[in-house]
Amino acid sequence: MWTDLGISVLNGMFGDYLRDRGNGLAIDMAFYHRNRPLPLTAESLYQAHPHPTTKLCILLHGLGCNEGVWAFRDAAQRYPETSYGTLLQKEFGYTPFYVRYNTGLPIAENGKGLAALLDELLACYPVGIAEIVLIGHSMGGLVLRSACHYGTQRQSPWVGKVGQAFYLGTPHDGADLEKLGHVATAVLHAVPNPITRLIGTILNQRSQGVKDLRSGRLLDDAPDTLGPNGEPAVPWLASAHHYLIVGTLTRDSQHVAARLFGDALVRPPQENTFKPGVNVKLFRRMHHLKLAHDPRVYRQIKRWCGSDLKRS
Amino acid sequence: MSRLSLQQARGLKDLIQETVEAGASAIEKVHQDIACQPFAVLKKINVIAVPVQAIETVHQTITGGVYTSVRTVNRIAGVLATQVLNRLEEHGDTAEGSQAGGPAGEDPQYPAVNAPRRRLSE
Repeated sequence: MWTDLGISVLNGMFGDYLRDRGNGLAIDMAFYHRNRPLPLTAESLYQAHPHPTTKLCILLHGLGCNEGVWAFRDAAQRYPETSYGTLLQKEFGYTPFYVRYNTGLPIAENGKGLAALLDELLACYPVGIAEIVLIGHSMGGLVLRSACHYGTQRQSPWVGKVGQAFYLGTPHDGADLEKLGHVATAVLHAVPNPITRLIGTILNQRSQGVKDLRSGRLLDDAPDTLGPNGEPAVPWLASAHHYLIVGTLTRDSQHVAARLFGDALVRPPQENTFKPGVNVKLFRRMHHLKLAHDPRVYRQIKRWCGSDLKRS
Repeated sequence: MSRLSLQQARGLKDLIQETVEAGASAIEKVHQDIACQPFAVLKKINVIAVPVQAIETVHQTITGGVYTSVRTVNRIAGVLATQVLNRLEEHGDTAEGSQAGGPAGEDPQYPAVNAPRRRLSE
């Protein structure tokens, strides 16, 4: 478990370098089951999920993590036996699929990879699929949006099945820590001193995935998260309901620390970046990682899932 | 128990080796940049310019030698580590050839995609 987590952290920091060098530590995107890659064949899927349902839940972790981030901490188990995926399976019949990927790669590249992976899953899934729910934590939410964009472009059949997308602590407006890192690197390089330049060069070795978080960049050819008129550069998938779950470190969401630091890594998004009707829920005293495995967050997801099922 | 595949162990070895190589070169450059500043000032004083130049040359030779030694030791360590990993891989192939089934402790139900051939206990 710790080895896998260490490798995931390394991929988050230098994943593009590892991939370009053909390094054995680079992670290939795949669905994981019991800490092993799940081959996309009908037989393997049957072995992993002996009772496949017509509803799927796809879970995508964030930067430097793996699917272990979904495991409820009180479970103290190696594999994500209790997670939003397993709970949704138990209560609503969604068959969960956990993606592990190289978070150091550009978000757009992971988006394309996920779109293709979901195409493969649909091609070999043993029963017809009626609905797909997407859950992304942090960077995972951006990869989901990117995948929806590229999936729409290639007219992937899974895109039309996506009913709901949940974004947990996703930096749709960009991550302040990376913005700070970008400025720090520029300043360190500008100072005419060999030591500061060296520190700047070391800082600049961070992966493209991390750098993409600066503006929440989802596409190869759209460098910013907002268009010229403040509209999202990548439209939200029109056919799906979108739900944003964000956290703040403080009890008071209007506290200056909450507005500056949000959940320690991501601030609540600005309203103009999501379409009208997008639901947002803010959890107080909830740090960034906890958003991926907290009973209160699950209750909110369950509530939204339940209300959507009633509507349909 | 967490385990590291041979492929990952090779990757880790490569990453450490590349980091030491790049780190030694970067620090050497910073070292030389900083060291040349007082020498440049002292060389402007005509009476001591010649001995200062000689001292700077000696300094550059010694520091260059030290950093070259670091890189050389790093490369030798890398070669040795590669040989150890090759041995382990050969040994693993032999063991797997004589014993049916996947590596111990793995779930044969879920064969890995691009599965590493052998795993090392951490």
